[in-house]
Amino acid sequence: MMNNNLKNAIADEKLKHYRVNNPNLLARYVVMMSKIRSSASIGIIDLMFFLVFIVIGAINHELIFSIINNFNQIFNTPLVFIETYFYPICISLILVTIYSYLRNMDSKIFNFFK
Amino acid sequence: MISDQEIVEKCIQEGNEHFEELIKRHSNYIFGFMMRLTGGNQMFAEDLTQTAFLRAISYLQSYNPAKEFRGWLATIAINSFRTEVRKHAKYTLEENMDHISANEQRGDNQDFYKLLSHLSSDERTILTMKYIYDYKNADIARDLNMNLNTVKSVIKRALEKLK
Repeated sequence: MMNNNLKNAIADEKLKHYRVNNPNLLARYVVMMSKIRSSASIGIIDLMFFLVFIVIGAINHELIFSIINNFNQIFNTPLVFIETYFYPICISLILVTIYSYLRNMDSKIFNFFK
Repeated sequence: MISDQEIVEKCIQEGNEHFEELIKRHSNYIFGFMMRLTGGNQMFAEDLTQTAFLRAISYLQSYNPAKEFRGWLATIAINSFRTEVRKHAKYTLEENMDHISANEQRGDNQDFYKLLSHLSSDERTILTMKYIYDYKNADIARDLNMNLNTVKSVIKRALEKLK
């Protein structure tokens, strides 16, 4: 059984109304943080593209080593470097663009499937 | 006024921006709950309120619209409190007493906090749920993932301590 002190303390406490200092600010902060959190997490899209990059990299490993070895050309003769590696650079940029686009779409895609 | 369940549906379909409304509606309730669990530690209660809403956003897909949204949110907040207490061994008696004296200096009535300061965090959580928020023992057991008999014995032990 409860003693009177506790009964009174509980009765008083029940009457109290607590208020957050700034609920609007809290709401904005939480929603903003939730977006940062979701973009920082690793999803299926990330894993899929990781595999894609690994496979493409493995198939074209000679080309990648050649780019690394001749990377100093980008400072000395940038036009020659771009001309030599034009297609690999374009393909890389396209892949990165598709990856970033799909990553932004990530949540919507999964909502669609649910 | 649009219901909580409808807002949750909108959040799932259109994005988290709609969740702002739910935070504005329920932040005082959750903050009050956390203030009581932390014995008036305002900073800790504010942190827990934020954490609870962030977790609620991540688990929004698992929310059952048949249940009251505020109750679901409170369960997340209570479990956040228990996790934080366990993780960081926060909220020792001495720490709690510091907050009580700080609150007393502001002129608040601290009887409730003082009485409960001698209890463990689980005892305090269960007593707060039962006597302040009128939870049934079975609901406490379900929300805290505890055995019903454990809940009953914790209540009995806590009340013994408070005599």
